[in-house]
Amino acid sequence: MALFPKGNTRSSVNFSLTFREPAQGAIKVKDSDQQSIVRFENVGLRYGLGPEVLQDITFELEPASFRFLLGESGAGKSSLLKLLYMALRPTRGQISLFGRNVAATSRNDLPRLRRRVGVVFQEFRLLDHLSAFDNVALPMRVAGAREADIRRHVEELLSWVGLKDHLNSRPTTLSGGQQQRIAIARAVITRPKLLLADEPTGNVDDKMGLRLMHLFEELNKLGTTVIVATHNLGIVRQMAHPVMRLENGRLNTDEAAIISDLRLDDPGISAGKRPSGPGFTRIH
Amino acid sequence: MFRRRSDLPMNEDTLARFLPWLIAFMVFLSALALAGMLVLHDAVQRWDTGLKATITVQVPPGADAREDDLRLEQVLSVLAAKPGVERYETMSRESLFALLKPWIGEAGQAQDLPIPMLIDVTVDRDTVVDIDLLAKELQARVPGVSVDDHRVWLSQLVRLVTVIQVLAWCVLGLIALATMGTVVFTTRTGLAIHREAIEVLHLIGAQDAYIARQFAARALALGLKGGFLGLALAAPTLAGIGYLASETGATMIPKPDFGFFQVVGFVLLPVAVAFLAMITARATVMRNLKRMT
Repeated sequence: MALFPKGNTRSSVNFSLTFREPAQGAIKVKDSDQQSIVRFENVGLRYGLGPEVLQDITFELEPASFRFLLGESGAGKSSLLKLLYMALRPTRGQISLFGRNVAATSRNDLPRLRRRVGVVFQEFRLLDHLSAFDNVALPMRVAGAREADIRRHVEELLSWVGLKDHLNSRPTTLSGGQQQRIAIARAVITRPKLLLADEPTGNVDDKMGLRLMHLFEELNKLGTTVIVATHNLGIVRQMAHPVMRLENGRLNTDEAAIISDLRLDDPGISAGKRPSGPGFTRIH
Repeated sequence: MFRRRSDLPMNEDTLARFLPWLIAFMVFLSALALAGMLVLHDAVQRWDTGLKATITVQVPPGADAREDDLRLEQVLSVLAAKPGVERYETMSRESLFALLKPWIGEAGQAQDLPIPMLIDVTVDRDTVVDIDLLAKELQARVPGVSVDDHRVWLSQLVRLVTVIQVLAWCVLGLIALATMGTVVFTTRTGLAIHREAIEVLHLIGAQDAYIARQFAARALALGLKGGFLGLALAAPTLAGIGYLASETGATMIPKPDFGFFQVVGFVLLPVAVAFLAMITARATVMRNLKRMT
């Protein structure tokens, strides 16, 4: 079953253009082209009284940028993503999303901020009692969208990720790859301003993984900032987007060093051409 | 708010299955307490209407029938002249015998039995009649005359019934508290069971109120189900009590005989309990979610 309709990315662009902007509510978030979408300043994180799992994380992402987040298991990738989707608060430092200091955001305003962030969880976190349709529809329902719009968009997107025949299937009856596609569809259904994906290709074959990454690219072209945490260096080589790497809780933003260290630009391994990293601003 | 679809699998909660039965029991008890209150209130109203404006004058029998008539005439002349006395009527000997029959049987029919003469007196509700003064005036004319003021024992009875009604209200209050406690417990258990799903909802941008609505709608549905079940069980019980009350034949035992508005009150009882469950569930969720990230 084809993930994308036959043709090429044209159809995916058409699909994306039909997306409805998520309801933003009353929150005022400045995310003009000049405004950074993500800004971390000396962020540290520890669990309980344990050691810091993230130390002095400082980086900034401009709108419509695309980053791969690399790192060994236990390096802190998931923790960093949790900070980004506001499941955790840093123990020190400051995080700003869409120009807004997360620590200063009231509890009532957090949901509206979260609606601008799409998340593909490593373990999917689908609601097993809901159908594929209802799982994907959740972010729209939460945002108060009309049922008619929900039906149209969800069916379109599930069809697009190759699950047209599984609208009413429960996640537990689907394969890991199918569940992953539902999770991705749920993350992108409201066309978030920031998309975070934790090992989004971990349960699909390389071909499918590449197709899913193309979906992220399409969203990225439409202005979504994308951060993909992955171990899959093959995908990183082929997609040719800037990288950053977590090493023992510290973020290495020296792209040249990472590329060299991981041999990401080795023509013998991949034909992908690495860009210099537009949209990435090193603070120090 | 009342849509059937829920983002949380609350139909699978084992504990929630017991909630309708618990609420049914609460509504059953509430219906009995409410019925008791209504019946007592109705009885007090009836006694108040019937007895508050009446007194009974008791004239002791004389040596013979001629003296009896003379005494009666003197008493009636005082009553006739008394301002505030609307009406007086001497009870016939047949009526007196009928009243005494349960105690003395056919012996009451004996003509030589010295039975006091009774006069039913109705006083004007708007005029204050000094009963003690009336009794003194009557005793001055006919020694041995006594005046029974029903208002004295009626006020004591009303006080007793009021205490019972307050107790019934307390029972209703306790039932409401027990219902709230049950709903709080089941809701908190539900929150713990669905913590993972709730976290996902939060992370995709759900407000606490969105999650609370789902628990509230569930509590309302279970409350209505249990509430009307409890009312359905209470109805035959009350009918049975009414039947037993009528079978005793005692006029003092009030019978459950409800009017339209009282029936509406009973129908609204499960609705009120269901809304109480809904509000409690919502408040519980909102309070507990504030502790989550």
